Amino acid sequence: MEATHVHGAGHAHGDDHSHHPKGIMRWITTTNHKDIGTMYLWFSFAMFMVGGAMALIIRAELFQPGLQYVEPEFFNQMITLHGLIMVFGAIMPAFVGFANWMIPMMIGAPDMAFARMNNWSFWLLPPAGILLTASMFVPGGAAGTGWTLYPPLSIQMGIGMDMAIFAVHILGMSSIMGSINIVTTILNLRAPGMTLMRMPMFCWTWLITGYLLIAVMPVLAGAVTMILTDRHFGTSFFSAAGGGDPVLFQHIFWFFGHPEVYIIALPAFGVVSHVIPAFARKPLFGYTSMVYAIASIALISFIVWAHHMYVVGMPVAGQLYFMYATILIAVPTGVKVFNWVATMWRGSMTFETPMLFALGFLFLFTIGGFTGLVLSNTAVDVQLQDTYYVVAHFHYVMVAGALFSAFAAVYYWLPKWTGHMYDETLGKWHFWLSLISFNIAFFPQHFLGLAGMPRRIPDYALQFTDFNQVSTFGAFGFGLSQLLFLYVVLKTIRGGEKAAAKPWEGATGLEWTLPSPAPYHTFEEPPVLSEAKGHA
Amino acid sequence: MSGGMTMVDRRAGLLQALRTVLSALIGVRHRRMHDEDSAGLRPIQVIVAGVVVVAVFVMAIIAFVQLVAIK
Repeated sequence: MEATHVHGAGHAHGDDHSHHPKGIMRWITTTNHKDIGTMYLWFSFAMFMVGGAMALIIRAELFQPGLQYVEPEFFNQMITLHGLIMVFGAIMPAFVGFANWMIPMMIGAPDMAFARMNNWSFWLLPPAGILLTASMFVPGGAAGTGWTLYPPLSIQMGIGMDMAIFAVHILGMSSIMGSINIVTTILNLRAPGMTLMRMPMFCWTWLITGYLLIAVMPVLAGAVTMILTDRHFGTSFFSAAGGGDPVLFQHIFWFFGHPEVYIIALPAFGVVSHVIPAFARKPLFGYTSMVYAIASIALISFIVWAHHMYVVGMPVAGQLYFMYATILIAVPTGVKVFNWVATMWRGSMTFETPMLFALGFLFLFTIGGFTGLVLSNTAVDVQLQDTYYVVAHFHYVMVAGALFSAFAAVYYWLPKWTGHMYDETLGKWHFWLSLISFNIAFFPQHFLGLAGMPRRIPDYALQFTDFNQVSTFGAFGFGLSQLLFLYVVLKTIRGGEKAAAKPWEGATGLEWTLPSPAPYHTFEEPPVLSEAKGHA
Repeated sequence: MSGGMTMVDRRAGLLQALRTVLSALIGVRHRRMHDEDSAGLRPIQVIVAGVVVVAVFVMAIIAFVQLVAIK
């Protein structure tokens, strides 16, 4: 607060852009972080629906043994596109959307550091989404390799594979630009007096996620480019016939792929670290150890990648190394879960929808973490790899982890975005329907995996029928519950009870000092920080 | 990004940076020690110490693996 004149003046461009274009051009030309955040979130929801429809095709086919609705080739395409669209099209853009909306308001900045690049980061996404979905309709169909795009299969596919590669390139460019923007914003545009260790936890998680993205996205781009040149330009990076090695791809892919798990999980951790203190009416327990734990998780995430490849052919020493390193990553993750639980300890808790989703996250993400520990054991993984146990594991992490956290974020910040309170009853319905149907869909998959049902196969042996039918029921229930979510959000945008500037009694942070809905331009002058407002 | 760092007259040593990173890996420490560190340490020290500790960490696991994998 005492340093307002030091670097506030350099960044607070109070330009008045009240003459911004109307209609569609507003959205195409916008450089406003709130507009761009909104577009990210709607794009993410659209992709969530597309990827979800694909999941339901997969589950419908698996309702009974034998082939019912789709050809095996199409089933493989659904598996692939569902994974790529959900990871790159739904979850990642959702959290970039939250970052766009909230980070400038949380740190007291007028906008993102590179406002025009921000526009470009977003507008790269729709072409990539179109490429992925349109690839279903080209000769040979979409890529059918699974989202991991392993060669040699990915070298043999048709033009749909090239479209997937191009889409991954575009999505990677978007992610890199987005993370450069977020990192620069956080490091340079904080309000005077907001030191790094007073910064809201969501900003910390995104700062570290941004570095992870900048580190690993080029690796993925390199890997898929090598597939592209293997396919069309006569190289043999991954072709044993030409002296290459298909396993090399797996190493490169998972060197990207494992940090990618944390790229998705860390911002989710950040959201939960805001919601739980707000509804427990206590500051986050162990803010410092939380920051340390996030940094440690990020570092260790780079040295464990080959636990995705235990059975591919690796010396025992390699298997042991990756097993030990993977098991050790449980330590900082455990610290985080401990901190969230300790935050709630003797807190004055209420259970509005954001809190319910945060608690659902905490409970189910921990289950997903535990099954991850089970799988980290090489001897066990040799039995369980490529079974439904793995599918259950990563859906507990990705859906109950990242997606539930995203729902918590939407309900938590929706009053700030729209100026209206959402319908609490319907929000709670959404939570309970999602929680129950999610578990009906995915918990039986643990049993299927333990019994040996392989993943990515449209047919299965008769003894797996019952649990598959239960799982399919749950999946359709989960999918339909999300339509309720859409209705709640639309209803909140159109009207409802007027939201106060700070609708949550226990919420802290600069974003709640702004009126609801947040004005188009905020913090054109840097705010003056009091001692209490620095932390989340 | 060096807000607040320039006014520090006491420069912390490598040992203190290592201590910060090691406690980060475990994730628990006293607030008093944290306050001391954040007053004395520059980010670059912590980052360098972090990379060094991860390298040592990897080598330690490899050494342990060599130990248990010897026939």
